Amino acid sequence: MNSEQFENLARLYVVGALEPQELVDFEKLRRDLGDDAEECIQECERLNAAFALTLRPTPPDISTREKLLARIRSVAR
Amino acid sequence: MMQTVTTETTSESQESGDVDLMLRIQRGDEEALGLLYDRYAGVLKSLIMRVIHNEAEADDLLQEIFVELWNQSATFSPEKGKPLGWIVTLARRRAIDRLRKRQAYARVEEKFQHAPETQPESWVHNTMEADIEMNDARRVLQRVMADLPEAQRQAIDLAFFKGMSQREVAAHTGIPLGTIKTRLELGLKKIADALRGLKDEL
Repeated sequence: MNSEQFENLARLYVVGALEPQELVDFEKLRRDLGDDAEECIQECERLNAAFALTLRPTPPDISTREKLLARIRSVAR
Repeated sequence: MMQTVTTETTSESQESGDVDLMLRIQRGDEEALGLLYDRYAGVLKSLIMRVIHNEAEADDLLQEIFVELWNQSATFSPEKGKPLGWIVTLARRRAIDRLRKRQAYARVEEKFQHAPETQPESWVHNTMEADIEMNDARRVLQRVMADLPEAQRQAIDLAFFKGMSQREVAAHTGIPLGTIKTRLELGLKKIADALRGLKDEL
């Protein structure tokens, strides 16, 4: 498998589109390729950020932030 | 502070700002969590709603995601990727988990098919919104996504926002698996190529 083929798989991986057996094969390839694979996957993970940034923000309920911070304060880490 | 989501630029300085916030969160800084929430809660809620189509549940899940982010912050490393990608990946996974847990695929698909107008605006429609001030990176990405052939965009939408595998996309659309694979590969490659031109901005 060449680098372009791995990149294709990595992009499908980060958007969660690989079939179960493809995922198994991809994880094996990932281990075999080591750092090069991780670098490629990191690059592909920018796709996720890109998809999110193209959405128009929907303001959360105003109480959500307060509830979140109250929960954080109430639970010891 | 929600307006910061649409008015701040996703620049290199903001990216480093995200890293700083994550490092502060790792040290237990609640204020940093609040600032990160202010910055991204809006887009994350839109993302969640694209998956589960329920506003109250989206707010609930948003809170859960930021709690998890807080609890898992020690696993974040700037060397392993940028904060936004990490956070979006977490949010998407949890939204899809929620969707599957309540075993409402059929109901959600029905909503997806019949009520697109009520969803948060998608990438295509956003390009026409004059009232939203968008940064350069966002505009470039929206243009790229809007220019994708409809078939490729649909395949990506089902995979990313509905959590479908290639085989599930094929079954859902009635299109051969090989065609779906090709559409996904071509569409994702176009977007990835565009991202290379935004190296420092996303």
